[in-house]
Amino acid sequence: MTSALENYINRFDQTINLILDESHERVFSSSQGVEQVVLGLYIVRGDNVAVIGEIDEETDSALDLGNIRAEPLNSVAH
Amino acid sequence: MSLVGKDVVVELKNDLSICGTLHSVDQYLNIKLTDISVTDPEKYPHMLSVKNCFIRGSVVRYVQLPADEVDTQLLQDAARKEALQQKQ
Repeated sequence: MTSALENYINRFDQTINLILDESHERVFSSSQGVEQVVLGLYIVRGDNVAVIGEIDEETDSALDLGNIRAEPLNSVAH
Repeated sequence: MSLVGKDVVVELKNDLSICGTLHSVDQYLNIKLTDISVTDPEKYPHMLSVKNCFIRGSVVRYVQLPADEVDTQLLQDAARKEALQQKQ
């Protein structure tokens, strides 16, 4: 299972600490479709951020999340 | 000689490779890429709806540069000078 936090980035600072509003987590699994978990207002410490991707709303709404399967992402090895 | 605007592949420490056009880099070597695609066959569907992204410098393993866009002599000399400065 791998997850990606999404939604609106309200604030960020030098070390990429983030404030995320209306966030939800997309949990990817190799056995079932993508599960979305609503989280709300989050503070994320920058150390934990790997990539911030800007979502193209059009492409995203065309996605069939129920049919997406994914192997777990490896953890970051320094 | 800037590589902004050139296509690069960024390999992350979690083995994900992202191809895209270099938009900008900062002092931490954070990278912004536009028009991205994940190079490994969609083993990584996580980025399907992402066109532009920001990559934190600390998670980058390699940045693959186009060989003909880089003056390797210049790079070697600059790196040598830098290493010398570091020693002093």
